[in-house]
Amino acid sequence: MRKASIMLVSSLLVFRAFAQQPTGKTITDSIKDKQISDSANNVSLYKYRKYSFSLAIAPYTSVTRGGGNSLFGATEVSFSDRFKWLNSTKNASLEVNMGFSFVPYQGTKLNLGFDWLMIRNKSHRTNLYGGLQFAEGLKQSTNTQDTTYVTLGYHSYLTPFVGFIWWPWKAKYQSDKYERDFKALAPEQAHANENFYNPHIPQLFYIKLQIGYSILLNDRVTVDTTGGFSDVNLYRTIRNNTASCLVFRFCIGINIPSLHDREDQERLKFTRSLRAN
Amino acid sequence: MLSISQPARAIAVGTLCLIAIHHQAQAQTLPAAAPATDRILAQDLNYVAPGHELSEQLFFFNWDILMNPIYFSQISGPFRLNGVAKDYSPRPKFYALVPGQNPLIGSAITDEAGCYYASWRICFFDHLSKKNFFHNMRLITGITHDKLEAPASGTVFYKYTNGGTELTCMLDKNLSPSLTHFNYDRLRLIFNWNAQAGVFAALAKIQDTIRSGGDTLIAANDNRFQLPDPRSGWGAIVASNLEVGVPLSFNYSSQSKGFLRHIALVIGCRFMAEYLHSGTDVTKNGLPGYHLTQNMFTFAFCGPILGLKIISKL
Repeated sequence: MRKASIMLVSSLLVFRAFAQQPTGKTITDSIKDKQISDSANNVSLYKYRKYSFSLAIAPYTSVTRGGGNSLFGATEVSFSDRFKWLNSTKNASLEVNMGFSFVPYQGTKLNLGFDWLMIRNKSHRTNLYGGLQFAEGLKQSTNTQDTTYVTLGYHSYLTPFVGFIWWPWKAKYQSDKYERDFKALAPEQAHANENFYNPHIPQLFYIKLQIGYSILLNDRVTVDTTGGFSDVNLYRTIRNNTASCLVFRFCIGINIPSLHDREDQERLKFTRSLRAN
Repeated sequence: MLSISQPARAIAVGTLCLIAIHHQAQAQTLPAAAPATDRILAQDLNYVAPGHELSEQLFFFNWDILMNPIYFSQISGPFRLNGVAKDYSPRPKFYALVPGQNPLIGSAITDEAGCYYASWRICFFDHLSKKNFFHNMRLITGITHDKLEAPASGTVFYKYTNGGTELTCMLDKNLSPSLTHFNYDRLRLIFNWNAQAGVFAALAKIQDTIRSGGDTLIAANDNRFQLPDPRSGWGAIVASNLEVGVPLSFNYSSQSKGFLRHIALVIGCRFMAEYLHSGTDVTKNGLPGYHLTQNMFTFAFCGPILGLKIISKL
């Protein structure tokens, strides 16, 4: 009976000890550091970089309809929202983009899409992303002279793309391993961690370089003229450029930190009331 | 002493000792605190928060260049001479972006319009609760600059030479007050999503010469400007702006001073609906006493907007 009791207690303690090792792996300091760093970086992604506003120049050249001889440039304005509930894999971050682009020979487009940010290493300043965008080109009637008009009909595009995002001044966070061991962080890292917790405006800027292929979804796009339109070159240029295109994108943007949840708001109110007192 | 006859007890005691040591070691490697995520968005101790919120500013100034004005819809009414509709054509329009613009961004910025607005705090609304519609509402006064003209033709010349200049008065409602407050308070980052609505009176005078249907209409005077007068042009604007701005000086220690801290560069975009009633006195076939009017309605989008914001109090 006594042996059985001892064995039972021993077994329970063994299970208790094993329970502290996820998936049977020994937790080392470095693993804990990584977990803490990943957790902090992940939370920061949805607080510091929840929203963003960007301006882009998008040179493009048409591929179909006999294009490809010229490089034109579109101007784009985009607003993005990063949704935490879409981060199902915990290893990426999906943000939804909406915006406008102003495209020579294609007119104005409404854009709606998403990109999937690969954040395998969350502390990196450069990350790969890929995504998909739908663009609806609006009907546009333009007067060239007198009562002469050239009218471009509605046209739709689907654009798969890949690119790099670069936060040049993003603070690199290092876990508080040294704090746990009662050692001071190196001054540079302590400063970096402080900047991580309290990002200033320069750390919110980012640059994106992207390439995509814009597929024209319409079988036929109407380009009509009225009033004795005679500019054949302009007509042909519009016609040829309303086509599937190879699109590059150079973008500069800024993240807009957000109060992520009610808990943050309560904490901010508390901090403010302390400051007021 | 443990004897050989008691191997199970010996093993058990040994196991207990090992587990106790292992358990102690595990306890030591547990994080001293929860992951430091609750420090995220903590306040920088060296940062000096602005003493005044944007919504608390008694006054600040905006100068915005509206690039790429895209007019989704333009509805032009007929010309009216002393209230009688006339079939003069072509009818005037706001400038539109032509699809055949030059490569790259060269000409994408040539069709800009602009506005010069002062934003005033309405102290009368200060006592209102946060749920009140007029809470966080400001008064906008200033000049709106846009471009209206009839397409070049031999029959109708009707335009604001060098653009329209409209004395504007609007109410401005911040639609994202928490985000605006949060970012300005913590970073001095300006984020603003607002809705505006108001009226304007034309300060610029329509220049016109119309020869059509046997009528020759010539403007009674060719002044560039005029005093606001309901007969001479007025309208209404409803708009929504989304903008992000950064101050020219990022240094916000308690020691930093300087005018640059009061200036911020802003980039944004705008949806806008505008109604314009333009009017001018004309002579008809040399005879005075005629008044020519024309109504325009447009729904437009502008972007990007490049802006300059001057903030009075920090």
